[in-house]
Amino acid sequence: MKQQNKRRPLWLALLLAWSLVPAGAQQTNRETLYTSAMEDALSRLRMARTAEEYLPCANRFERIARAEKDRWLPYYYSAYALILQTYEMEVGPERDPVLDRAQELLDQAFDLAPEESELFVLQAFLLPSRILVDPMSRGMALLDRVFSSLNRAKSLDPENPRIYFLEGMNRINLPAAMGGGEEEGLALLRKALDLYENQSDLPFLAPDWGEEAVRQELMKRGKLPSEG
Amino acid sequence: MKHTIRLISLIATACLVSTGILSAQQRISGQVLDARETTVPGANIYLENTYDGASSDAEGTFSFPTGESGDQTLVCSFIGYEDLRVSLFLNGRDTSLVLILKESAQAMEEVVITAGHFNAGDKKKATILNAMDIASTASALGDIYGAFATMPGALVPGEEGRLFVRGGDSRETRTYMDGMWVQSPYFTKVPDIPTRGRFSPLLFSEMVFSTGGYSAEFGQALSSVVDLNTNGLEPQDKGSVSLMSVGGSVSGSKRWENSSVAGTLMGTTSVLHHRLFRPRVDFLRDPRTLDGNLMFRKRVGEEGLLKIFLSHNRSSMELMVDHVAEDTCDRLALTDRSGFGTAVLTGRINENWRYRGGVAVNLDGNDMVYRSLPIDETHRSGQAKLVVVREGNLLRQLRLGAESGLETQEQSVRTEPVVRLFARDRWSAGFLEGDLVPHPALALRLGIRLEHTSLTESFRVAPRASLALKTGEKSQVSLATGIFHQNPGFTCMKWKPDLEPEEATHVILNFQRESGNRILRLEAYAKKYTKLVTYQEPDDVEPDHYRNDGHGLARGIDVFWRDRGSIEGLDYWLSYGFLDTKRRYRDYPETATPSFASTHAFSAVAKYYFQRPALFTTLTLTYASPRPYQDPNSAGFMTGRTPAYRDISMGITHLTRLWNRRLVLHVNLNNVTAFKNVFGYEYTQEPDAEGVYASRAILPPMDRQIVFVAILSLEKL
Repeated sequence: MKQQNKRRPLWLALLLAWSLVPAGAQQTNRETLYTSAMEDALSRLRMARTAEEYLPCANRFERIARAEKDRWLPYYYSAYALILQTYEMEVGPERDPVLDRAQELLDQAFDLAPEESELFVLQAFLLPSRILVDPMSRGMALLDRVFSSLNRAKSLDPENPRIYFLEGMNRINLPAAMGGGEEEGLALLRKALDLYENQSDLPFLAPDWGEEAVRQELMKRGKLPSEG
Repeated sequence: MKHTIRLISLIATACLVSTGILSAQQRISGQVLDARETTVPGANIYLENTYDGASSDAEGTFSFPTGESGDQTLVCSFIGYEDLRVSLFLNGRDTSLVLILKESAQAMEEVVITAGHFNAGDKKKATILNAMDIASTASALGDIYGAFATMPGALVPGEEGRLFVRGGDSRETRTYMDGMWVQSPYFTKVPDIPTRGRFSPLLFSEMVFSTGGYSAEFGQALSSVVDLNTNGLEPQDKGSVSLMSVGGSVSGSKRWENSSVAGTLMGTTSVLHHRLFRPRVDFLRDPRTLDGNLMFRKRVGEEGLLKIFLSHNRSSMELMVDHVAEDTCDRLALTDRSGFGTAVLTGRINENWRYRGGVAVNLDGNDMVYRSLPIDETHRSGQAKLVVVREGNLLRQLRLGAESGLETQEQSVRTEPVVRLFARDRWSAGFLEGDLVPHPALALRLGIRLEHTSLTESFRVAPRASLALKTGEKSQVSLATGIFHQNPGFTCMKWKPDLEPEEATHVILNFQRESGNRILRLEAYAKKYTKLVTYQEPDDVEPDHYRNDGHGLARGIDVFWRDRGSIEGLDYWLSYGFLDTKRRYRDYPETATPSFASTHAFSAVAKYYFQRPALFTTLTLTYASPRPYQDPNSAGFMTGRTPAYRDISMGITHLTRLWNRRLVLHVNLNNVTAFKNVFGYEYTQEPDAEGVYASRAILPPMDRQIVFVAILSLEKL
């Protein structure tokens, strides 16, 4: 009798204590929930290939973004997924509403992190998709913005390989008169590759795309630097 | 013991539930449809403030688990549709829903009233042209009005350089910038030499050219309105220098966080040009101009924008004017100064109301010495305008505005004694106009304008109405009608200031079909003029001779076809206008077709981009049927006919690089094949010995014109 009496309060105390713990544990719980949700969304994004596959990825990131409210990364990835979707769509005005939405999401990311290099890179990734819809009228104005966004990204983080990836791709595909040049473009891609290969470990969930595309482009032109 | 365990498990469950580790799970599933019951794949359905959600699949169905409980809000969103919010109470039971999305107002393909106007801008809807189209139309050489002349219903007679719309005189077209009236949108007109617009098309993000039936917001134009909207904030710092065969310019812009400034300074002189292409006109001093403008933009508050535009222009020239009529050759020296300044503030009053207010000042003056007689003219005006706009759903927009201004014009002929003629008008106007969209396929616009002028101390009421109805997936019909008033010009008012305003009534019917890259527009119109001012002879000095008893009628059909890209790399448009017009005004003894009207006018503009070498070329073909002129050697009035007008113009642009900067090289050739065009004839006052009146043909200043332009950007690539 005496033993049972002793145990009951102990059990109760433990349970009650456990129910109080969540105050701090909930915080860690949220962090874990966020990280695992983002990881899941990212792995699905990496598998997506078609326009129909990119939209649910964008939706997934948008749900996380709206629930979290003050993290820029889910907004970033949501916009990124929509931009990738437009590149898989037919070239035409149907791209515009999707790009409008991507720009809205990117703008929300900018509000949360106005000095983030990756956001300026993403802006420079979005604009060429718009240009392709109507190059004659949009080319002039938007191309300037592509390069000014990349320059801003450079000033914030000169080691970001994606800057040189996008700059390189743009320069290769533009006529010389508009700032293009194959040699220059390839040099930039090589610089990007160099940065990709030598970058220190990135923080978890940080953007890490582009390396494959750089390799493919260099390989296509037979300009891949020989591996040691 | 049993009780204890039960109590413990109960508490344990309660705690686990409260920590969310063990919670009541349920599924939320359903289907997403739009208003037409079509499935919506890819919609985003989720519980607000949670991660729980899913995207709808190819059949619009979705399903996801959630551990949330109690009051929740389910959100469903999809691009182009309004977000749908549903209140749910979750208690562990699966829920199934059908979600019906409503198209958002912006995404809906709503019909837009198109009768009587062309929109040139970058907006996606109802855009026929954009700013680059205007800037690159070969025949126009960067002149906004010259480019509008390639639209049906618009003519720019070769010796004029100004727009004449649908049988209306050039003064019947008014230009507005950001809603404020621009008193002199053209450079000063000199006899027989065409003038051109003062502003570069690159200053504007949108230009609306109305050929009739225009909004109640504008008035004092019997035929048409050109509404220019300046660019917003400059996107970034820029600079460029340009060199032309007729002069040079320098321009730049600077952008700060919430403001920007942009300016251009340009000087032109025809010296070199006239050495290369001998003009018919005998210039004692080649025309030269100095032009500068400054645009300042600043964001004000959350949604407001302040726009300040300042422009100043000076030009001078000296030439010998050939007068067959007087059998003399007279020296004309002209110096012209023009200044325009406007400040416009737009902003939001509250959720539904916006406002737009502005002030503008126009200061123009010219000093002429003609036949050794100095004549000075000044034209000054100041205006203020305020418009409030309410946005809604059925009543899509309600606009209420008031404006007022003061305009004075003065002409002094420095004879002995000095002859001074003066006219001053204190005017005010108010308007109320509403856009109703009862259905996406029907749009209505009703407006009323009230104008008051101090010249006659009288009011004029001008009702305006237009509508558009969708007749098929890609086609629509549109109707516009209204009454328009305009005070008689200074040439009449300086003699008799209390002349009544002239009046015109328009009816326009339009059919438009847009399919992918192609657009077809057919428009039929009728304009009835009343109270046009008549007098007995040119420069009639008898005030009583000026009366409002003239009248006129203009009717016609305009056809427009544009195809952008059906043929790879080619963008072209064709326009044709049929015009039947007669009027009795000015010193006309009887009703006749005016000398600026051509019965048939045709324009073709084609733009093509060659890849190798990188050349952007434009070609413009223009034809206008013979114009009437008064031939005293024939019986009747205005019975003479000039030869038809033909012109083929070309522009070639090459983009290249210089000193690691962007370089644009452009050459423009006007009247490439040197057609011999005659715009009219001028006759002597008295017949010669055989009773024949001698004549002189009014010809273009030169047969062919070539202009070279090179523009270098200052930013390194």
